[in-house]
Amino acid sequence: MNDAQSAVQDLVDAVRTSDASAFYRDMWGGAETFSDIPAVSRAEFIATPLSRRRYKDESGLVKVVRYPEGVFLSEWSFDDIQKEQWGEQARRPMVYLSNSYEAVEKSMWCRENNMIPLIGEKMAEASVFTASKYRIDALITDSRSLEKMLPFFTASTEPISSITVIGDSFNYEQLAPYSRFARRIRLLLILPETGAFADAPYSSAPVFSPLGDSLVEHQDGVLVLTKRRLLTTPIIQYRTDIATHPVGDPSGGFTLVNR
Amino acid sequence: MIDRDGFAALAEQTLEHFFLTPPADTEQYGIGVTSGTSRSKVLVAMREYPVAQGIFSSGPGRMLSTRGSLSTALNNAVFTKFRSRHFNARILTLDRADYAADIMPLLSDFAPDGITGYPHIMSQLADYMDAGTRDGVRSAEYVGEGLTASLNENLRRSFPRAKVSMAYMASEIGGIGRSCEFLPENQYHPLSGVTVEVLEPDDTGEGEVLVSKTIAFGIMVRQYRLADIGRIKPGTCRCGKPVTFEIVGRLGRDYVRLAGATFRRDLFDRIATANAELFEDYRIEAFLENDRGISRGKLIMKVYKKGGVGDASIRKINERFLTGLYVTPTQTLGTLVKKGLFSPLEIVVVEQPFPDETKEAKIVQRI
Repeated sequence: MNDAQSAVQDLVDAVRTSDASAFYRDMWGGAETFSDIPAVSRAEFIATPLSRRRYKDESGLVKVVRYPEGVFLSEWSFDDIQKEQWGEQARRPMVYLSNSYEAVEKSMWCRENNMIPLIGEKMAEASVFTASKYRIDALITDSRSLEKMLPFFTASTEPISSITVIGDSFNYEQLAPYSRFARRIRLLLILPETGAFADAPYSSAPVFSPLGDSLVEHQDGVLVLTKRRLLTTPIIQYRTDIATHPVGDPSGGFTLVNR
Repeated sequence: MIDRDGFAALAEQTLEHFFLTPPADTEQYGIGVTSGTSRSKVLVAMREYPVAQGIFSSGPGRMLSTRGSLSTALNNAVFTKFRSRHFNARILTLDRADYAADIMPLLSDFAPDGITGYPHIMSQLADYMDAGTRDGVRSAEYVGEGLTASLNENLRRSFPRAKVSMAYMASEIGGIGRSCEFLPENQYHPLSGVTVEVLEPDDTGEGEVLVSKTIAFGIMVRQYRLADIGRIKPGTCRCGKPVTFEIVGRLGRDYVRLAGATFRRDLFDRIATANAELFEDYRIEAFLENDRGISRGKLIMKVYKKGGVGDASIRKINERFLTGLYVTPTQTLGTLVKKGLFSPLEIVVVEQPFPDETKEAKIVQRI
């Protein structure tokens, strides 16, 4: 077992024997090794109250995660928020997202990483105005909100340093016109309940690479995720509905199917 | 003394300072953005958080917050981080889109011991919390708007075990005052480093509130006109604080001065509550009208009741407000009508309930 596998097994052992929650222990039955434990899915998160999925008692933010099939709470400690890889270091970042919970969380990521973020409000006109006033040099956004920032970009005389577009799917053609507005555009795969787990520089056919804290597997055509850190609500063998195609390179790169 | 346009220039100064000399430690700084929902333009200013004032050393461990602007939601998260230095603190800031039946078990599981936000939005949120969850709330901090008598009663029924406090702030300059355990609703002590004055107080001591404080980087705003009406209360509070001020309403909304009379929402609410069998809700438009060269004040009172308001009820409403609504320390609206300073009260029955506005202004001055 190499170091990475050993670290994941340590996580499984800690969660399995935790006094804080029996959520995963009950799901895993007698399975003890990472390779033997069954996958967990969103349905189990929806069916289990947060208080029974909480493995750490730390200060942080709680958010509502809503899907067509149900709703549940997700909790992120300030410490874990700080360690996520939501964006790049910048002097004057802006967070402009259509989901209010994600907007506040990513803004706190900025603050936890010693940046003062501008948070974009729902009204696009106000967000464009404030972005200009604050002279933003980096943007964390989603596809829908990025479009609303077009007036800011067309009025700017220089590209900003980075745009990070977060989501679980991307329309690469739709993003193409924005490539000239930033020196780097990064696509970041996320789910609200898992945090960020893979990224790719923007291109018309991006290959995503798992982030350092994420173990990405592909089972039956979909992505199964393990975050290597013990989160407040840990992500271990979490089966997503994100269809993927591994490219077979040593870094574990993959493409999204039909996205 | 400066108004909003004057503040805009100060806001620019704070931004320029930040651009030229960004602080190495960013923790105590943030960005204040006005909502832009008023007729005024959006303002952006750097702001300093009162980290050293000790107001974050205690509080609820599981806070449920309503969501105004996203800037406010972010500030609440930042304050939770400040609290986390002293104790374990979490916050759930609920988006209004999630005020739905399926949120009830989630809130029950979260089990908030504190709530914070706009009073009228918290009143709506209470409908999505079961009795056990509401009973578990031990502290309620209301911000962003005044607490009317009816809303206060409603919220005390919803959260019977919550100790109530209020905070007075403006999004562009941050915190201004906080209540204490000895103060009634809508009364505050200025925060450390904040000066509150009243411009041209009338016989009752009421006038436009002026605020002076440091915004950020040593840049100070002096006598900023916030367009709120208030008064300074005499004497030292039982808590020992020497200055207390009361906020009575918003200039031009909820508090209107017209033709020598003062119309306050809390006084309208009091009479409305006492006559709840006649109508369920109301709105007031106040303006000056020119009647054959004579300028008089005029009030149009729109009333709503499910099923309608009959002629007999209209006459009763008219009589109750004319005789019961004091618009000067010694005179009722009826007195001013008799004197010809005001036209007779016009009552209009509306068929649809009034829309739920974010700031729920019930008295508006029409220019």
